[in-house]
Amino acid sequence: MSALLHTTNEAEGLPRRRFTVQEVEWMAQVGILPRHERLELIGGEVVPMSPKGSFHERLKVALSMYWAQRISSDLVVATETTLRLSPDTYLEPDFVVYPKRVGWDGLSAGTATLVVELSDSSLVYDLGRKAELYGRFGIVELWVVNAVTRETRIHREPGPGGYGRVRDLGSDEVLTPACDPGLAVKLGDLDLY
Amino acid sequence: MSAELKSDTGWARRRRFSVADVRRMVEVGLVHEDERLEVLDGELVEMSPKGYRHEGLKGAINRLWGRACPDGFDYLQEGGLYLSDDTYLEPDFIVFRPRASLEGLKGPDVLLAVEVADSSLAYDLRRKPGIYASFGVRELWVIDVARRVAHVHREPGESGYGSVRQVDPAARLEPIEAPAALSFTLDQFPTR
Repeated sequence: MSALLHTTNEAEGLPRRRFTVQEVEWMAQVGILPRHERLELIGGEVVPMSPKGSFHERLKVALSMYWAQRISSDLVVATETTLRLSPDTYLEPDFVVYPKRVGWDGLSAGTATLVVELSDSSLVYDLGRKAELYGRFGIVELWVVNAVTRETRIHREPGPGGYGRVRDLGSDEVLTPACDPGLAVKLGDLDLY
Repeated sequence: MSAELKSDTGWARRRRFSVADVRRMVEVGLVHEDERLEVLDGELVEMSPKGYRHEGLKGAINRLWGRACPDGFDYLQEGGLYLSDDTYLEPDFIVFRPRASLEGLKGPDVLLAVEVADSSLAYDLRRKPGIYASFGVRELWVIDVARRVAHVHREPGESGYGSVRQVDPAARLEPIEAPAALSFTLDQFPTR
């Protein structure tokens, strides 16, 4: 099914029924939502994720191999995991870094130390509303990477209105996450397979 | 950039649910039976709480029509209208020809739909007529309870009703396809 048929904005401006994370899990259990369907829940609204292109997938593989070899022993890097931000919001970022001692069960907006979104078709959305959302929930550091050009916007100092500090870095510049300098990476140098 | 994934406001578009999905949500108890929802092109819209004025007028119409509705016609109060796979509305009244089952009752079968609008006036007047019209509901009255004015919509088409006019409380509301016996003036009902 195309994204167009699959989604709707017909009731924009009208009070819509909000769903909770629990209810969305329930829908998957009883088969209302097919298990394989990739969704995020944003403020109670069920939002299908945009299809991922080959740039996105190849960069994801390359970065995950690169980081797996370098990550500090007290941190975990998870790919495409569910990050619950509130009872009615969860997102599925491409990478989440969090402390081992916290564990996946303890992963939350407060414990995630780095979130990375690789974007191709969803770049404008990821740089805009989504970054605002991560900032509002207090994710300490967010990278939004243009998967095609490998340019990155690093967001820091989250607050109620979004991020206070934003820096754009080119594909040939070194990106260094605050949580682990060992994860420093020049995206332009990564080999894609 | 794939434009279809985003709305005008920059928010991602929302997942479409079918009326069957929503029924299943009610079946499994995820959506409570008492939740008053309509399904508008795949979105679950919460119906606004109804005020006294709204309920008073509805009760008055119901009493009148209960006595006046002739053989060969039926009407239903707050009946669910399944207009398509992903659109379900609950108009305050619908008038139609008697049938063995309400299942399969579609837009063109509805000779008259009435929405009594109080807090929901903007929705009922701006959004709903287009939906009713596109599904072929023959005639729609949106009654503005606060101003005691009826907006009579006729000549349904894909892009809305071809004819819309306001009817004052003293003037008689006369349906085209529903029986004349159901006509009334808003003034004949007490203001409450």
